[in-house]
Amino acid sequence: MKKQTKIILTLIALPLIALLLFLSQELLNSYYSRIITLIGIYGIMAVSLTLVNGISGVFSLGHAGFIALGAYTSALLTLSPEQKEMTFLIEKLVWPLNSIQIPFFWATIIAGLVAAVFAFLIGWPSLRLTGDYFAIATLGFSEIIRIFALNLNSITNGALGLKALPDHTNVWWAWGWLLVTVACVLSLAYSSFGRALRAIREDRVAAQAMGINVFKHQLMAFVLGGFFAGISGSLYGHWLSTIDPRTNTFGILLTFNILIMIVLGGLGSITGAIIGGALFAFLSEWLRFLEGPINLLGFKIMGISGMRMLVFSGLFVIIMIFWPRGLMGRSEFSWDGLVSVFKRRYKR
Amino acid sequence: MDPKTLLQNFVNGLSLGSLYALIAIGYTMVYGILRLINFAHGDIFMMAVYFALFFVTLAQLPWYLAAILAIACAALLGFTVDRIAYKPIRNAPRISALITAIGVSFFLESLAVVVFSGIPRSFRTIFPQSLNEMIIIGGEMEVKYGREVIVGGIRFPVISLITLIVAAIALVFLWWFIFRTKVGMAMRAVSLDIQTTSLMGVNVDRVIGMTFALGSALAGIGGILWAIRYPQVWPYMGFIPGMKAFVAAVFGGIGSVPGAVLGGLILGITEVMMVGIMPAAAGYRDAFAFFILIIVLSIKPSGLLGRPEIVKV
Amino acid sequence: MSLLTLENVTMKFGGLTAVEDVTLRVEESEIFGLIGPNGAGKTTVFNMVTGHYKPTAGRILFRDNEITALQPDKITRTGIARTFQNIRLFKDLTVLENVMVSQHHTIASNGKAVTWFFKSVSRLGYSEKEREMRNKALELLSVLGLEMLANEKSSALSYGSQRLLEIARAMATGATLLLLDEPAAGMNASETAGLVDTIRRIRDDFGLTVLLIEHDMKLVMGLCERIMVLDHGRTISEGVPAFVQKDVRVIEAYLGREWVTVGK
Ligand SMILES: Nc1ncnc2c1ncn2[C@@H]1O[C@H](COP(=O)(O)OP(=O)(O)O)[C@@H](O)[C@H]1O
Ligand SMILES: [Mg+2]
Repeated sequence: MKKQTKIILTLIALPLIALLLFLSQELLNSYYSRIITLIGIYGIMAVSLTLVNGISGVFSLGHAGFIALGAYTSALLTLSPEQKEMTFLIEKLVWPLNSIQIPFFWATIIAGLVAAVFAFLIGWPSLRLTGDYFAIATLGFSEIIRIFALNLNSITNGALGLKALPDHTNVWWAWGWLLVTVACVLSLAYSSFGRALRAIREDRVAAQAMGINVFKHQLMAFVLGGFFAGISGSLYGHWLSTIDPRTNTFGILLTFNILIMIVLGGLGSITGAIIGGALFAFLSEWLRFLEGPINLLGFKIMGISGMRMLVFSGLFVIIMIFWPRGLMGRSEFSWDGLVSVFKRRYKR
Repeated sequence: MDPKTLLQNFVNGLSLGSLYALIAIGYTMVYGILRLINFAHGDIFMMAVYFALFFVTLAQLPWYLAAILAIACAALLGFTVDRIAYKPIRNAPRISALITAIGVSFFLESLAVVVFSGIPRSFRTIFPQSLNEMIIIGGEMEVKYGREVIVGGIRFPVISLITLIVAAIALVFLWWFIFRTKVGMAMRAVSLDIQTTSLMGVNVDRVIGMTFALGSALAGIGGILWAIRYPQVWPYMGFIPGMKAFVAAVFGGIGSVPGAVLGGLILGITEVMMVGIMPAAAGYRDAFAFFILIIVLSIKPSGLLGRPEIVKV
Repeated sequence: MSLLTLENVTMKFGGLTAVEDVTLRVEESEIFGLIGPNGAGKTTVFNMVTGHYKPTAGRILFRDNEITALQPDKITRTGIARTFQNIRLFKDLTVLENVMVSQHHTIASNGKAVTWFFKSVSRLGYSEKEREMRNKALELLSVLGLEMLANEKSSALSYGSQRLLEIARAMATGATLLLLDEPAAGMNASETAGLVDTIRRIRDDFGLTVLLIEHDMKLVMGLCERIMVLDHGRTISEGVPAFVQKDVRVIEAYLGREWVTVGK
């Protein structure tokens, strides 16, 4: 297929997706349209973690920390001063946060930047470590964020959390940011820079011997991943409309959920990350029946909470053992690939 | 801090640290052999507590039998986890094993939620009257309600002393096991060089399984002592102690059993001392371990007693 | 001025002395052989030169600049590149990509990394540089006879081709000194003969200097202009092939003392 054809196809596909999203908003009820928004948010989380864990060969378990940072940052910037006055009961919110309110777009950008700064600060000491140690250090970092969220009353409102966030996050914000994320991560991954990252993933020692400054490259990938995690946090917070540090919403469980998405989709594939995010959103809605009352042959069984997580984690371990490549392996969507899939179908 | 409080805190920290040490040993032994952070270790710790609870409340067993059975079940669980989840991917990239371990950890947690429900239970009332007083001692805050031993005018909670004694016995047993039995010798050999050992006709998988079982049993002992000290039992109770024990293992030098013990003790003592000196910072005590981790890893990743690892080229 | 100088270099691993007090000079545009029995410390010498190990004692100079214990990527950027005895290609990348990775440092070093990061994300002024790198990589591949395999995954290549790809990848860094660690290992006779020609050709055409480790004595004696022999980490002989070949110490090292006495 010619390059021009591909560009034209892409230019047709994007408005088509936009049209579908528009129709979904018009035709579906609010429950489903909220899920479609959530898929966009999950997509950003999964793609940004893929950049770090799938492409640049470091293994971060701190994604939820950056998402939480993003959520708090943008919530504090979009809530009105009066609301903040009412919410902060334990201690007053510090100046100047207590008196500013800015548009959602800028709050989201700042959320990304704050998360990126923290990614830099945590990456700087811990990226000198390899493999597992880095994983643990980032996990520790996200725990530290959670603990500070619970205790730093004058900024986070401690255990009370933040409530009644304006419901800014709609399908357009979520999928728009997803498009930006995918465009950035894709062009990075398939540039010379991304090639270097993938080389590091394949063999760190050899990459270094070929003149690549491993630390610098991984740090930049980690910071960009942190930036988009922060963006997704802003969107997620305004989608949930509450940030409650006592639940596991922004804890290690969130990181684990994103891991499920990217492993399901194929660790190292950006396309796979988006598919994984969508599948996860659908599955976790669909599996809700496991936790509600079930009518089995006339017997009513009480719903058992925790069943969904049990299914997900069981599925996750099974995928890792029997099907570690996931849906996409490390390959990406391409028009050529799509055509060849159809050709194969047609021949049969 | 006056000398009396200091000594009190020291003993408290020592006993907390010996719990970290008991858990850390499992991490360090598995890491020494497989280069795998067994994320599920903290959850085996949690399961052991539930087993004990189950044996006392439902099976109506006397507490000492319940404790022994629970520890045995924990060992069996550790062994099973290795067989089912880790053995099939022994030769996969290390990162796959790490990811799988995280999955296993969440699987055990959600299993506990489904089977035992996510509502925290009390561990306090399950032990018979004869021990009740001792057990009521619970966490540091509740010391004044429990039985204490008074030495030279200084009060020590009984549970701290019992923890120290049990941990010491467990460590002596461990030392005997590693250095005086055949299986222990095989474990040491496997952790030095897994390939050569398997060429020598040692059944490496069995040795690895034994290592998981042994580490899990120690975590089980730690779990029960932990639950007596902080008598709230719930499915996520293993996460923070597990992480801290891992920090202790890294601090002491991962792969080294004496290092794990040393790291655990130091972590326990500094943690209790920190809260003693700055009571306002008590909310941050769980963050403290992670700060230590990041600092240790940046300054001396091989830990106190570990050997520095040179990447072979 | 020698191109590469090792001054009294020693490397200890705990109680084991892998390299002891080795002094070595490699002159501009020569092909220098480093030989010795297994475990003699040859690869360790390479690892010290390329910065993977930090010598316990001694100095290493490249064009009179000290490079002892610089980071490996820095050393590569000063002009030394290597291949690995146990092939370390980027398995999941294509042959072409493997070579292009080595050119990355030319655009990303000296604080330009951040600029390039943003250029890559935004794709500004990007494709022309990329095309340049691609052409140069293809050129190198054709020098080593791998151009037909450019789009294969590197792990799909035969053993011999993988060794050649390692050489192409090292050359693509723009290095002037190549360190080849057992480039003929696993090659058959005709492949080895081809390799000898190739090494000579790249030395002449690209103005390179080659330091190589090899067990195939025919190759070493035919190709190298000077040779140094290591045994148990120590230099036991050094000179032109004809001299080294006859040196009793070398024969002893390879075949054992008894054999030499009996032979007499
Ligand atoms: N990273 C390391 N740690 C410990 N010992 C090493 C290391 N690298 C090499 N050695 C030892 O140094 C000696 C020399 O090894 P090497 O340089 O690979 O020999 P060769 O001449 O075969 O290339 C060997 O005994 C080897 O086991
Ligand atoms: Mg060698």
